Amino acid sequence: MTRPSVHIGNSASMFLKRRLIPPVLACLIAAIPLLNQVSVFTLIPPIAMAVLAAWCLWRTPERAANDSDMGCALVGSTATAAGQEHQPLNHLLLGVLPIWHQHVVSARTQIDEAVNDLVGNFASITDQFEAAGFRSSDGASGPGDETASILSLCENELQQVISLMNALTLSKGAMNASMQELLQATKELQSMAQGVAQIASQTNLLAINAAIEAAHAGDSGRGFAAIAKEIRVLSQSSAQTASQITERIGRVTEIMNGTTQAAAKASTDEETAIERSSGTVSDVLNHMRQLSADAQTMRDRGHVIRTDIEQLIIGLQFQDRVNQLMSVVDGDINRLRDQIASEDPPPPVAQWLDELQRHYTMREQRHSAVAELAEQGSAPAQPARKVVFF
Amino acid sequence: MAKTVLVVDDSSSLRALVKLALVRAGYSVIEGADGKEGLAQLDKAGKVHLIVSDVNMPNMDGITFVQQIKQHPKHKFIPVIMLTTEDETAKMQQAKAAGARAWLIKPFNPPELLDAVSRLAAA
Repeated sequence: MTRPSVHIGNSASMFLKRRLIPPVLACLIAAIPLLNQVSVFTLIPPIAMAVLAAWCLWRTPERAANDSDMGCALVGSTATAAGQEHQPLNHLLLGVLPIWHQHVVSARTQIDEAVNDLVGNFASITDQFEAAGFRSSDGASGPGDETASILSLCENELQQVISLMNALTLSKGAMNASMQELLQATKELQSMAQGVAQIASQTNLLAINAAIEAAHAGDSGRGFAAIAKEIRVLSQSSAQTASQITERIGRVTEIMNGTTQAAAKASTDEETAIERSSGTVSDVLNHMRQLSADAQTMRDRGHVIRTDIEQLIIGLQFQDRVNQLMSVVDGDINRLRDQIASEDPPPPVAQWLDELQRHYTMREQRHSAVAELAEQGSAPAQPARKVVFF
Repeated sequence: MAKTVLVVDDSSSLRALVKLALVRAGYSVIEGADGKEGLAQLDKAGKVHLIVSDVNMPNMDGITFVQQIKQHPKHKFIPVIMLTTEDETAKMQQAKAAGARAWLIKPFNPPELLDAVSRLAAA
């Protein structure tokens, strides 16, 4: 009587060689991009699996080619012999498959943790960039816009200050002109006072002459002599007053000269101050324009960073797709282990593959050819597709 | 105040990527590793404005998760976006019948995800 394990051993080996190993190989090729993310020790079992598969395929190529379907039950002594020949392979698989499972799980976990760390580190880096002002110009207004508006506000206000200072200088100029006119008027007054003094002097001479003539007239000239005396007194008084006016006007003129010189000096100082202030204001505005330009540069660079982040988010999703592939392979390794351990006759290949395909979720999983899988697995992540709204 | 999005996916790295995109756009994010954790988070959290959920997950898959939400008197109005590697039309139809509002296949493009999130979270 043929032992079930004999059939299982032969069928299982054929199944491994022709149906299971090619997709597993493809998945391993698909995971090549992860080589720098996982421990070398974790990769040893999958590599061993690939070597074992290659050895099996090399060792019995003719037999594999002649077996049309694993589901065809092998009977008779030939089958028994073949089964006995592969009995050690069953034991080997029952011992090895759980280890493969553990390592596949370990690889998935390590990749997941590594990508998590990458995402965390990258989020921290982008936060630091944004804190430093490298914010994209997309979306809400950033520091660059605020700088531009502050610059415009400052420029307007500073220009108003300059205009006020210029108006003040013009006002001072008018005051200086008035003081010059006043100075001229005091000079005229001084001249007029000197004229009065001269009139008083002549009047005094006239009064002296009148007194002399009155004395020549004798008694009849006494009244005239009295008038001449009074006129002389008046002329002396006028001369004294004219002298006082001249003295006062001289003092006023001195004061006004000092004031005019001080005002002229103040005007010169103010003009110099305004000139310097205008230069300072121009420098400040230039600095702010430079700041604004820097802010724009930072916004532009922020936009580049934002685009890079989006590409990184897309790129890192390869891990999720590889995880899906490995998850299905891992599930099938477990199923194969259970199948061998159960010692039941294996199902037909089509049935096994139908069950395997039931767990497929991605387009590349549904491609059965190893070459196609390898090509897709080594390619970068597929471009994102549009959202479907219900 | 930032709107809150619940992200449900069995892959912690995928959750981290979705969170990175959403947080940078100003959303607050809470997470669950499968449908059961998603329901627990909904019960525990305050106001949740939107859910982004995977389809194929252990313990409770995304379709069942949506069905459970739609039966809940408090959570049934929260819009759900399915974010999955699954590209079978039949699954998409199941999600639509369960009450999901949008379907997006991984790998997702952040601007497209954010556009869908902002449109549905604003509704």
